[in-house]
Amino acid sequence: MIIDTTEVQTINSFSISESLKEVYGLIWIFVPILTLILGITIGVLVIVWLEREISAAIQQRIGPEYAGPLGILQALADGTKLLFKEDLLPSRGDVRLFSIGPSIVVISILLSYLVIPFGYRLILADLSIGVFLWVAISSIAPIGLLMSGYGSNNKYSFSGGLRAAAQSISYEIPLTLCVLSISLLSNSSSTVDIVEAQSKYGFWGWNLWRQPIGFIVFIISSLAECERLPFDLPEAEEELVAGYQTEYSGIRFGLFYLASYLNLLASSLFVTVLYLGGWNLSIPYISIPELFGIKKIAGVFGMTIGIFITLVKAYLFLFISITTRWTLPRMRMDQLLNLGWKFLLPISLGNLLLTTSSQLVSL
Amino acid sequence: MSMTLPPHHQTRTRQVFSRMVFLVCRSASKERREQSERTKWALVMSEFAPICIYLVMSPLVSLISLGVPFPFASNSSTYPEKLSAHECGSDPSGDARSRFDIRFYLVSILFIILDLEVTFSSPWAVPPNKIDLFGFWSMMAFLLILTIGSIYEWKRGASDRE
Repeated sequence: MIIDTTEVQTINSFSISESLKEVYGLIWIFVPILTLILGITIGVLVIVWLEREISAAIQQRIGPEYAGPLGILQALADGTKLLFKEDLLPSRGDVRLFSIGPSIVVISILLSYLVIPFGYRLILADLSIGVFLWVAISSIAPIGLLMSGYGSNNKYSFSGGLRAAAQSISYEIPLTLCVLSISLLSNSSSTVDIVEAQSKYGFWGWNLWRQPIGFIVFIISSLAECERLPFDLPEAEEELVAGYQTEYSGIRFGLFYLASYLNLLASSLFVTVLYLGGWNLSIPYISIPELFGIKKIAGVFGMTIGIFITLVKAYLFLFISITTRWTLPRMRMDQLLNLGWKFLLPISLGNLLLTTSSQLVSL
Repeated sequence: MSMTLPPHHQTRTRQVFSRMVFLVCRSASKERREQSERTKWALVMSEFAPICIYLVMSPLVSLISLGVPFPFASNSSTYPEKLSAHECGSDPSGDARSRFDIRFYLVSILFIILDLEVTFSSPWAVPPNKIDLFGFWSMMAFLLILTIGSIYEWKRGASDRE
């Protein structure tokens, strides 16, 4: 009898430990996701601060200096202010579309962080269709912009929403064609494989040298997808008051703001992954494990270095796009669409055909 | 009254017993199959669990940030002018959802055609080693037809935004 109870107890404890193991597994899935969300939120705050400082330097102003040292906390203060602002719903607008719009934009852009590798094996989901998941998911965002423009029942918002949708769908095709030629070159569309295909020969192995046309087209179209300044027609202050976000106030406006910077961060990370060699140090003849005398790069130290290198490359691209914003004038709508349909699209298609032919010749 | 069961009842018990044995055996095999199914499922889940959880988490991020200001950002004192559409100070005239430029339609129609092209060429481009010259030239024929169409559209001025 005693033996029986102990057996039952051991069986019970065994099953408890099994279930505990499952619970731990579930918790271990949550940890990287929460870390990622926290990290990209901090990244957005840093970009906002950088944009303010760089624009101040370009315009010979001082910029933020009171909130925290060097005004680092300025972006956080702005966000907190937006939390406390009154949330207005336009009286004649469609409340549902008006409320859902900014959420859809933020969700679709947040989902594209799923396939970005920040370091060696440091990716949330290493899918074999990684880059296409990004292309597919990021095309949900214009639906949210169109919804919020239509739901506001304001002429400026409506025109802004239409312009945003037209702009993002016309620049999506050159962007996708560039991504296609990259995946042709690396024989895979998983982001990890794309980075590893560039790991040889230091920075001479980057896709930037093998795809110079694709790189330029990708940068231009990703700026247009982010609605950054040479292409910020949907929210042109002088024509449409603020475009699709005219009627928004409080945290919903904050969500649009967050979405635009999240999009900028995501596209600069994708430039890093697709063209600039991702997490590799990219200096020829020097590899990190030899340099620091560790056997594998998979340790915590190697991980930190991988993240650091990725972020340095991404923020280099961010610096370029911020300085572009504060130096170049805005285009007209017809110029924008002509650039997309009559210049970038044929060029990127030709680039894809060139890549295919070279791959076929090398077979 | 005797405790033995009537004969027909005995056969019934035997039937039930054999049925139970059969069920147990079957459930054992079923359990094994379920176990293998479960391991397969666990394998699939270990690959897709982060995606599923992230799919839930990312709406939560936006919903929480929409919900946090609810207690102190309610509009208690409103007046009609505050909630009317912004039209640079004057009263809004008419409905905003009126006619708009036809060229936005043209852009979206062009997008549908070229998006299909991109969708067709993505499986063509991904395994380049497995596609021989036949695959290459069939895609070229498709692209040629598409290019002729877009040149026609270009010459007719559908993409001119005058």
